[in-house]
Amino acid sequence: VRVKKPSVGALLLGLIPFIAMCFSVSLWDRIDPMIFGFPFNLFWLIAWIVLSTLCMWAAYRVEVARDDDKQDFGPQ
Amino acid sequence: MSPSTVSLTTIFVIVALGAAIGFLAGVRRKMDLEQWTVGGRGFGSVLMYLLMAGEVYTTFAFLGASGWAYSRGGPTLYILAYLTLAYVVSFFILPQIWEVGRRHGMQTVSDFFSRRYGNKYLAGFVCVIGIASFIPCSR
Repeated sequence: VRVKKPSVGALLLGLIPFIAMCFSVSLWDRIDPMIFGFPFNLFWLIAWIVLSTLCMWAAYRVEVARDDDKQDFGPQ
Repeated sequence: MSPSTVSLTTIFVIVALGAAIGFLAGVRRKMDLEQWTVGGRGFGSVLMYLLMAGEVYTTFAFLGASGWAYSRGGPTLYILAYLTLAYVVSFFILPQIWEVGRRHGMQTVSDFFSRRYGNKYLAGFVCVIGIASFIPCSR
């Protein structure tokens, strides 16, 4: 079966949360600037839950714009 | 009312309500195996959203993870990362799996393996692994 491959732009947008939460731990894994009473690393992770949602929204817009003429993206 | 009466009543009301909704849903449309396994491939966005939320907030999320965080601390932070990243990956692969499953009328993971690799024993092996993995997950 031929299935449509995701576009490079959407994949790059999906890579951003991986870089931020997974491949850069040593950059943000510290307690020091306590934000809203959270240690910095906990605040960073919680912030990236929200920011990942924004990334995936952007990726979704990219995918929808790409196959606007077909309109068969995903289980709608 | 004693606390145990309240909790038992709550449980029974929820079970009775769920069973009633299930029976009513079965009356209104013809039910087959495809309806039972994959909901006729017709879940809307809202239902999928709620199902995914139910997938995240398991017993582990409420009891296991918090207990682990209390006793061990720092390592539990990975839960925040892996749940988020799991759905990032899902965004790219799940629509394609849905499409493949719809075109070939697949209903389980074993169906996919038997169709993709043409091997009944591999499909059975995948099925056994799935069941064995499900036991510690749902215990």
